[in-house]
Amino acid sequence: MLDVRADFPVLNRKINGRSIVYLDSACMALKPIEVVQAMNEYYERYPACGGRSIHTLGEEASNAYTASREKFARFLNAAHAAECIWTRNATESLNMVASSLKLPKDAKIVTSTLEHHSGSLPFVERARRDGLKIEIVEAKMDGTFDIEDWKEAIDSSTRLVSIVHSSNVTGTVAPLDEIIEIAHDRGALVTSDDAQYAPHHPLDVQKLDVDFSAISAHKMCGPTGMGVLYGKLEHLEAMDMFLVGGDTVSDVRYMNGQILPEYLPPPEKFEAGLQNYAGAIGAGTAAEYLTRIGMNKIEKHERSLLEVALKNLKDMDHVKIVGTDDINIKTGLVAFTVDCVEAAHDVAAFLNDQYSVMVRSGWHCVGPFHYQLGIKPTVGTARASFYLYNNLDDVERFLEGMRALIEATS
Amino acid sequence: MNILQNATNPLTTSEILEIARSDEYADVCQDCAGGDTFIVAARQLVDKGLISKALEKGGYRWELVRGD
Repeated sequence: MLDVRADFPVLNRKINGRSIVYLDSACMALKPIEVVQAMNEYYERYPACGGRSIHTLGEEASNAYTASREKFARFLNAAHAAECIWTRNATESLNMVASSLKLPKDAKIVTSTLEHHSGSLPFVERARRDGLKIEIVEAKMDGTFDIEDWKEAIDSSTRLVSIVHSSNVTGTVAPLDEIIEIAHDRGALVTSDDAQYAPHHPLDVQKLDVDFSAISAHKMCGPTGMGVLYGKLEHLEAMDMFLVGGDTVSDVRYMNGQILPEYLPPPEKFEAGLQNYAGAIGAGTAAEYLTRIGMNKIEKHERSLLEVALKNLKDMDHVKIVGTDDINIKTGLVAFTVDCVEAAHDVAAFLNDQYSVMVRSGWHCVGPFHYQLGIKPTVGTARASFYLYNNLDDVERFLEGMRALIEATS
Repeated sequence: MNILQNATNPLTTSEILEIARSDEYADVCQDCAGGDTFIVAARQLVDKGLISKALEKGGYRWELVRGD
């Protein structure tokens, strides 16, 4: 088991006289002190513009910003640091691909019912805007996929596939390598929503051969408002920009009454305007922190906690697990319903109020899959998600709370 | 509070959310689909003593605290 709890100051906090049990990392991960310190260092020692100002503080800011991109590239094993574009979050990364990738008029986009709204809606809107075809692959009721459905959906007209690598509801890990192989064979690019996968599993974008990967720093111990779009350099070079402006150009000439921009290569052409330097520095530090601990160790640690949680939840009357219980194809989270409690929000409220156990409840921004399961948004599902700083005591208190809830409501 | 004011009996969480999603409350409930924001607001009203909640069979029941 990992023992990193001392790195996370918030775990010292007590609420209602109890230490907190934070099981909502699939929404927002806690921050290790070194991430906070790295960001503070920027604000305290060199709070200047990166890539613009030539003075000492500007140079230090530029160096830290560049170094952070390199740290993140190493985290993903990207071939070039330039393949990592700083964004606000995975949502923005996915919108960049959906909005800016050049697609022919007869192109088809393929996505699934298991996507977070951020992984489906940008592509739904792109298809609507340009009159493109879009086909939706239905996940199975346990959150897994039948690979034959992807073979059927991805045809020669498909140019883009958007798929969630690890579901934030079921935790199931998609067979992405197989889907990428199918897509590439048929001439389509693949965008992977790695918001849930990257923080919890080793991710090697070169080995996976994925074309785009969208990541949120806030789910991997980094700051809020920071994300990354990984893209193969050839695709980024060919892509239009989502935003343009300062720092995206090598020259902007004025000739014959026209303004003529010459854009820089990636990553600069995508990073318009003053950047969130502190955020990027924090994201790079978080990537370095997780790399140092080891993603294989983190994956193993989470699965050991998940195994205990799943086994005990399955033994409880009234509890139904949403998604597969095969931990070998699962990220460290479990969503569930409790049939003696009408709304999942009541589960979360009870655990929070009575046990200081913090879980998520609702539809988790995955409306289509909840509707597919026949679960109304007003009922929703509860979700407990584990990360490197959780331990068996956390799981035990969560289970104790669940038993008390069932006893009180059944 | 409007929903509870119009209710004759305590309401469950999902009953409140269902009512909140109806056309009648469309103007005061713009972000109720998942219910998260709604529940946070309701909890704050409990803290202020304006509404009460009690855990019963099936989950929480919400009720307006009515003055004498």
